[in-house]
Amino acid sequence: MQFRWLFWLVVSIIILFLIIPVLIIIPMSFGSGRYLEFPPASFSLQWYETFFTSVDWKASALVSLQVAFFTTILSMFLGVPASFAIVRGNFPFKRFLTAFFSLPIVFPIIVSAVSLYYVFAPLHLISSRIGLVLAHTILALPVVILPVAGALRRFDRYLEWQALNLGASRIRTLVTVTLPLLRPVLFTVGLFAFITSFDEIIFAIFFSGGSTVTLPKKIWEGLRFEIQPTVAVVATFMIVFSTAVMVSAIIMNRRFRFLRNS
Amino acid sequence: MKIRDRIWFGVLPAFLFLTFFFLLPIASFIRRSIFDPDFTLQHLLRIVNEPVYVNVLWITFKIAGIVTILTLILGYPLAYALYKTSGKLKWLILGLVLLPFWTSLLVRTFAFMMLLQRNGIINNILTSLGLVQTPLQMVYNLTGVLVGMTYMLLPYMILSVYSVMDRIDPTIEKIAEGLGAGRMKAFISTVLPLSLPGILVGSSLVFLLGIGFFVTPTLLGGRTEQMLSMVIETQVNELLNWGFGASLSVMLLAGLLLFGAVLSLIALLVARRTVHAPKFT
Repeated sequence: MQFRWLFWLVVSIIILFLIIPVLIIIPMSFGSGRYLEFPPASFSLQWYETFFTSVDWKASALVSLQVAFFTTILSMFLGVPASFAIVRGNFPFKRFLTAFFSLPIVFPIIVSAVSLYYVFAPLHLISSRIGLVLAHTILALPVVILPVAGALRRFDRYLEWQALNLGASRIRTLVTVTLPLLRPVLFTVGLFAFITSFDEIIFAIFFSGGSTVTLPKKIWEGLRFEIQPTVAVVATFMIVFSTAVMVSAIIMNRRFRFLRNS
Repeated sequence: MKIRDRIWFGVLPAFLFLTFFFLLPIASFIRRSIFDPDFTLQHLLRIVNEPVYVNVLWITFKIAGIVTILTLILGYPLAYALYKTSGKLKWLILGLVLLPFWTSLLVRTFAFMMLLQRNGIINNILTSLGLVQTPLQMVYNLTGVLVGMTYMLLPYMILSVYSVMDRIDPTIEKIAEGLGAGRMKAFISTVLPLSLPGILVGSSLVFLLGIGFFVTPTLLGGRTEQMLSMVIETQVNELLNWGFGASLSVMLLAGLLLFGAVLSLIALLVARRTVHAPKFT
């Protein structure tokens, strides 16, 4: 029986290993020294001040928000109809298409990034927001299509059938019955697509330039050759933001669970 | 039903988008490895001929391999813990495992740069406890890359193994103990062999993802830990060697396909020999 507590001790240590790195960044961002240290000797908001008074950092935050926003819109517009088509359509290559749409996340991103760079360079899409949105949408499409397709497969079509039976047109049924019931999934994949774009670094390394610098790219620059302390502040924001997104996605899905067919 | 026949239109925008912005660029870039612009094998031969690049391939596979083993050692117990718990505790552990997963890769890598540096918290603890004389060099070297990549890939292993373990009957170990086996023997003879497919899936996933890693080895590694993706980036971004960068990418893809095929074969052979225990409860 000694194995029992030893086992759980090991498991706890591994869990700590998973949690601690993310947690230490937050107190570090409040340090008062010249360099980042943990634990910080004393607390100050000096680097928060640096961030909020820095034109560069704020500009890149704005770029990231803009790119993520348009990526979300584009990927939802492309992805949701595709999910419907895959689940409810009746055409050859359906299975192949599901695999096809998961390809971007399985494929090594470095090769995708370099290839797109190769194609975009002559088109002057390198240092542009449009180029980044297109690039990020590639990664965001699987994030939208797969969960929505999954939700559609479990969808109880009885409600749709009833609406049609009562005289609603197909479009009306779609808008008033199907989509509202899918709202938690749609909201969740929208958030996921947003985060995918916001956190994305590899495409950003290739496609940033001039005024188009995303937040991760700026962090990358601030880590590559020497460690800029302001990075801790930005990292803290990103941790809080990602966690908030995940928590709201989970809450959203739990509240609506009772509406869906089990 | 007319709409059922027409609904496939919905797939067109996404399909065309991926074809034009994903497939075609990749094909076009890969093509550059042997058509630069005329047919040439110089880029591919360069990889084989120059020992530097053979070394890079070796390092890439070596690092990915070690990381796979490390994630298995750390991840299997955690998957087993998820298997044995239920209710709120299970969700708590799952949440804690997934929490870092949702944080940006870059931010997590940065966290390790902080943890492992010479005056980072780990070294501070070690020196103040007197366990080491001088601070250990744990970052900008192989250690940093291994620790960092293990951390990033651990959730993949845990989830893969657990997804298979979840299908194993939860009472099977008790049944074995009832038949006379000790605790350890019960585990080794029941859950362990039945979780083997999960181990294979997890290992494949971690290994294949590890080969393509870029951010973590760049920030946590030193000059001797150049992985394939880093070299590709250098060739394209800094040196503008499109042809050579393309041939390196071909090498990366070839490696993925090769190992993917080998691992699938192993999985197939294992699946033939494994009997899946149905759930009795």
